[in-house]
Amino acid sequence: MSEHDKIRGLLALAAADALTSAEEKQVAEHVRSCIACSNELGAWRPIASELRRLPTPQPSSWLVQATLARAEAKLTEQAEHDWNRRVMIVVVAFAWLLTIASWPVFHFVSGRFGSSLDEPQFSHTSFSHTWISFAAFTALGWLAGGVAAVMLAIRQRGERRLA
Amino acid sequence: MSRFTKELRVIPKAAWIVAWFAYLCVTVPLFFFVAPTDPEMGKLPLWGQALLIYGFLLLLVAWVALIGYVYGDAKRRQMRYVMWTLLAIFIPNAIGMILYFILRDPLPKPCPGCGHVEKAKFPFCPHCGTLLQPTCPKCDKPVEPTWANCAYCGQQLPEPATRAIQNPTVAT
Repeated sequence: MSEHDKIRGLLALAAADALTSAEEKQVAEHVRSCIACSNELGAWRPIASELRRLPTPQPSSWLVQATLARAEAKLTEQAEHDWNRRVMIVVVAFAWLLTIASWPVFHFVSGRFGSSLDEPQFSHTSFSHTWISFAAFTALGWLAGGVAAVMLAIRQRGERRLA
Repeated sequence: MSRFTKELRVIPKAAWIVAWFAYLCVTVPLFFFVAPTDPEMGKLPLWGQALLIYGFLLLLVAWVALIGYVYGDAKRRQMRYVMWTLLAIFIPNAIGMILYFILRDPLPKPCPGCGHVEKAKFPFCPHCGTLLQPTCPKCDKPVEPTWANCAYCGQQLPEPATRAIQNPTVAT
């Protein structure tokens, strides 16, 4: 594309004062030396000034109100969503920490419980024995959580159907 | 005030008292009576025992505080707070708490008519009948202020200005 063609593409925008200062300078320099472009710019100017005199379309109060309500609702929703996500990350991390931390507690308590019974099979609770009990305890926790989740989901669905 | 500080205030004072009381009731006897006699703990230096017991059992404080948060938060959201608190306590490994945070209701809003705080999903205030959110004139389900059509029955919705006339502010 030649310099002339490029400038021609900018003439309508120049008439509408929609160019950057660098582009404006470029157009002004070219128009000084090019009669065709100067004429074309002259033709565009009255159109642009007539367009400027037309009333600017104003959005209806309903549209403004709806857009503001929408933006506010979106911002609130986004903030709540971000907060909930952070809380969920912390709670899940805490749940893992609690699961891992319950292992030494379990080991310690089961060891002391066994020795307090003064039974040979309990007094030296083996590592694997405690480990199996701990795994069973954790699995029971997850199972209870799963059952509770299913029951609560069914209940919520029922409540939504009634609403 | 940050969001975190605001949320901390949801935890009842009683929960903090219980948390720290339980912490002291567990840590002090453990440190002074159990740890010195335990063959494994006894191998650790005194500062190691203190760090292990007092540091490790801070998890207990966090656990009780979280249960308190579930109680306070479920109450302010007008949910079944006793049920949720019991679930948070009795389902091990904080799974009850995870379930709570997944399934909790949105925060209730105050009624512009009478000031009573009501569930966010209610279209009318149960105390004074004020319209809390616009409803569809065909199926009566709550609609968002920005919707042009009802998402449940497809009914074209009037603009908010006329919606107020069709849905009177106070239910008759």
